[in-house]
Order: sequence, then C-alpha cells, then structure tokens
Amino acid sequence: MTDTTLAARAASAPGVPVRTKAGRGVYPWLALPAIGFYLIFFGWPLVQMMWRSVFDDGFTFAGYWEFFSLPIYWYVLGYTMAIGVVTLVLTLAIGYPVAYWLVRLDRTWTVVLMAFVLIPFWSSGLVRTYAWIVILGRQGVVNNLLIRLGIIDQPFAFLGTHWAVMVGLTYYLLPYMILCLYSVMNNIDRNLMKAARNLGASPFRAFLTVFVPLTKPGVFAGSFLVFMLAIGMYITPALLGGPEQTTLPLVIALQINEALDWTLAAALSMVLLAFTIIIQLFANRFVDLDHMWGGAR
Amino acid sequence: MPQGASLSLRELAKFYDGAGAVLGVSLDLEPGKFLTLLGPSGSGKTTTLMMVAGFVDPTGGDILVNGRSVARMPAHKRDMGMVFQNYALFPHMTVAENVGFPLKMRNMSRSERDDRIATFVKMVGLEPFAKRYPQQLSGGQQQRVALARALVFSPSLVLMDEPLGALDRRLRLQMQEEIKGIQRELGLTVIYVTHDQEEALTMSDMVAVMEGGRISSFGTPREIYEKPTNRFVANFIGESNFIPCHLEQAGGETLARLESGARVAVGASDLPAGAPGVIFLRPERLRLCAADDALPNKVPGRVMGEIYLGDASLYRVRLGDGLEVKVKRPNRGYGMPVREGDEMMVGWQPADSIVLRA
Repeated sequence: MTDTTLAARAASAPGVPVRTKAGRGVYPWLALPAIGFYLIFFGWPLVQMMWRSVFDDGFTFAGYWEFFSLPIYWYVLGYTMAIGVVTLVLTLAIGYPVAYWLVRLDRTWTVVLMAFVLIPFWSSGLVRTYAWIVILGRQGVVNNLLIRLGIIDQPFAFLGTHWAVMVGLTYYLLPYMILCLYSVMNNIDRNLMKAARNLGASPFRAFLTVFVPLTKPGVFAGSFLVFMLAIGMYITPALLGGPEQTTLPLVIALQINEALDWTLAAALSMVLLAFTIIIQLFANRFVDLDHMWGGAR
Repeated sequence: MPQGASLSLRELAKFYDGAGAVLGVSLDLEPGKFLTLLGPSGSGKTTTLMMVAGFVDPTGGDILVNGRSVARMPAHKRDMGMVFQNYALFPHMTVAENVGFPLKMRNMSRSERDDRIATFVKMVGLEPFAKRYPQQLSGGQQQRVALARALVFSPSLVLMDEPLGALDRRLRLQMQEEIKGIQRELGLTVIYVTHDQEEALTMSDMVAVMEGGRISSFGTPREIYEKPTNRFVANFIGESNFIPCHLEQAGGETLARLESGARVAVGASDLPAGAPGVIFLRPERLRLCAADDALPNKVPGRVMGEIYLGDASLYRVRLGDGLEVKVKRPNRGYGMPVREGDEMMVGWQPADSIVLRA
C-alpha cells in the first residue's frame, strides 16, 4: 500500500523506553529506619506469637492438635471465610457503582460525596457498630418503623443473625472498597472511553470492553483488602452476631480472655495467618497484578 | 473514487453558560480532501472537531456528512475515525487488538477481521509489534497504532486532534509525510486540528484559520499564505511585515503614502482612498538593493542585525521613519555583501504587497 521502507523506519523508531537500574550507592541505606521499625513492631511480635503457639512449659503441638481434631474449629474457620467472601461480594456490588459515580460527577459533587465516604471511614469502628445496634435492635429504628407501618406486630430479632453481621461488615468495610476502586477509576484516561465510542462501541459496550477491564487492579486490590479485614474483624461479629455467628477472631479472644489458653489462641492466630497468606498467594498466581498495572513489562 | 465523504458545517455553534466557544462556523469540504483547522488555543478549533465527532452537543447549526445531518446522531454511530492527541490506545489490548477493536464493535467475522488487521498493521509498518502492548512502544509507534485503528474500518471521515504534538521534530516531519501519503492513497477526507502553521501548510488541501470561535480565513495553503484577507491571518501564518500607510488615488493608479511621506505603488486593495491601512509584505519578497536598482518600490534603510538561519539570513532593517522590517535573503554565496550598519534600499514589486485594514 505504502512504501516498504515504512516497516524498517517503524522498527528503528527511537524512544523505546529503557529501564535503568536505580537505587545504587547510598540510597538503599535510607530504608534502614523503616526496616528497623518494621522488624521491631511487626516482625518481633509475630515471632513471639509463633513461638507461643508451640511452646508452653516445653514444646507442644497441643494447640494445633486441638484445632485440627475438633470439627467445631473447622466449622468456625469455614464460617469466617464465608463471611469474608460474602462481604467482599456485597462491598464490590455496592462500591463499584458508587466509585463510578464519584469519578463521573463534576468536582463539587465528588467532594460532597467523598465526604460521605470518608467521614464514617475516619470515625471509630466501635461507634459505627453500636449505631447498627440502635438501628436494628428490638426497640430500634427499623422495628419501630415496620410496626408503625403495620407490616409486623412483634419486633423482629435482627441482632444475632447472619444478616446483621453481614450488614455491619459491609457497612464497615465499604469505604475501603470504594477508595480502592476510586483511585484506579480516577486514573483511567477519559479519552479511552471517547475513543471506544468513536470507534463504534455503544456506551454500554465501551463500559464493558474498556472501562471494566481497566478497573481490574482496583477490583482485586479492594477485594483482597476487604476480605482480609473481614476475616480478621472482631467488633462487628461480637456486637451484632450471636453464638451462631462465631468467627475465628472471636474464638481467639475467648481463649485469651476466658479460657486463658494462650497456646491455643496463638495456634488459632497462626492458622488464620496461614490461610490469609495462602489465599494471597493463590490470588497472586491467578491475577497477574504487575501485568494489569502497566501492561506486560 | 475517494473513499471519504463530503463534509459541510452550517452555522455550527457552541455556547457554554452563555459564553461562546464556537460562534457559527460554516464550510464545505469535498470528498477526499485534507482540511486543517488552524488557530491559537481558545480559537474553537478543538470544540469544532469534538462537535463533528459527536462528543460535544452543538448549541446551534448543523453537520452534514454526504449531505445527511449527523448533528443528533450518537458518537458511536457516526462512523468517523479519530486520532487523539495522546493517542488514547487501550492499554489492556495488544496492537492487533487495538486495531481490531472497531471491527469487533461492528461484529465483523473473525477471519475477515484478522485480514484487515494484518493489512493495516502492515500499512503503518508495525508487523513485528502486533502482539505488543502500547506501553512497550515508542511515541511514534503508538501514533501509528492510533492511525491504523482510526482507518481500519474505512470511516467516512478521519478526525485528528493535534496527533503529532508529542513527537520530536524529525519524527513529526516523517509522520506528516506518511499521513499525507496514506490520505492521498486511500482518498480519505481528513479534518486535522493543529496550532502548528507549518504542519497546516504542508499537509492540507484546505486550511481554515480560526480566531475567537470563527473562521477568519478559508482557502488553500497558498491562498492563505500569499493572499491573507486580514491582519490576523497574515500575522498568524509565517513571518510578516506591516508598514502603516494611507491610500491615495492618483490618475487611476493607487498609491500608498507611508508615514515618512514617501509614496509607493501597491497592488489591488479593497480599502477606500484615504483610509488608514498597512502594507503587508513577506520577508522573502523584500530585497536589499542599491539606490539605482530597477525595482519600482524602494525605501531607504539601515541594516540593524542579521539572524543566520543556515539556508537563509533574516536581516532587521530600520526604515527612515524608525519602523523595522525583516528581510529574508537566501544564502547563495554570491550577490551584494550585507553588513550590520550598512545603508541600503529595501525594495519590492507592487504585486507582492497587499494593503490590509490597519
């Protein structure tokens, strides 16, 4: 079509980015204070806990044995994971459209709506969870409203149900999901959607083929974060749940505060940590985050 | 038979909260022509392009493609290929997937799609890079992908928004040549937006110079450069000299009286006698000469300085009344030597001057 030297010219076009090795010389040493802080305040307690889980007047695997031999612990672990997955799905389902609107709205509205996201995020988790007791309790807002409307005669026991724990966790963790999604969506070049429409994609198709794939890093980052926080959460299941909503962190607290079985508590903590790491590795394997952030490097 | 469509704009306008960005733009473009919208930033050229593309709703007026109005048609149905300033390549798709995107949106079969992708990736010389991602390409290569993607579906119009702005000069000149070559070869109708006047002159069949939301001048590059119709256009494109004058009518001949009192012959002018005006002269149409030279128009001056351009030199010459003009002379290596401080005549042919409204 055009002259054949085009190919040769394109191949020799200058400016193919070259990655240089940075950080030689004195710079690595600047990381030392951070590494020291990390080792003292995160590394050391972790080592202590690991030690505690196998040492109690001599080496023992009693804690791990108790966990692996009793089905109740497996049930609690399963329930904890299930709670994590459901919370993840709910926060994603609610957070995605909210983050999308935050990005699409003009500046002033973004600021106003962002305040609605951030103010709960900054306030105490305990207060926010107690607020749900006020809303969902026997004499709570929801029950009063339903009775006044004549939909129910007797107050409904919302508290102490799976439903209450789900609502509480979703509400609590939603800002994390929204912020993760927002930061990624906000960095998507708006011209890309224009380009997609210009090239013949309907707005909906442009959304599915261009916008959604580009938000994947945010979706995965938000999902990891929410899932990890959900399975480690103590306050919400403790306050809004009942005996049937016992999660692993509740069992750990019970061992420490009431059974005074520190070895079991430490062992359970290690199991929770191990599962967290396994899921992280598993996810990393299937989701090549590096690839999604900057194309294949 | 050109593949591109014809385009007509009819009093196209866009107002934002009462303030006008585009104040009624009308033009007609034949199929297969390359039109450049040229103007400084804020002149409304990009807004005009965005209205044609369907990303900005016009406040008034109409857009006709092959005689049919598209002003109310959503962007994705307009069948126009656009090359964006920052290329807007999809970062999660390879070169081939980017180029194939418009075909996929048109539900073209897989095999047909692959054929077309191969043809166009080859056309822009990117065969070895088809499986790479945009981030792995240089700016010039990304530019080629954007071009192939905008052309692969045989659009009725090709729209380009300062597509070469981010490239270095060498690459820019090379891409200008290639884009022009492809446009001619395929008979594309192109609307090209730029603020680079050189680009506009070298690439276009037609140039619309925009100023303050209006078309200030519309014509071929030669018309725009050599016969500007107003001072803005003359000033915006190329180097210009403006010598203030008053027109006088003397025995059927039009003369211009300069502020020094000297009278010079001028070509045709629309200005009435006695009206204040400016004589417009391109530096390359002025000559440094001796007092006995045969040129009809001569004004004495003093050489104040030289700017060496390589192939030519630009001399600053102060005329008797204190006005400085620029005179461009090719460096041929022979002819009258010129040094700073020399007293010389600046001369020109009357037909090379145009008297414009002051």
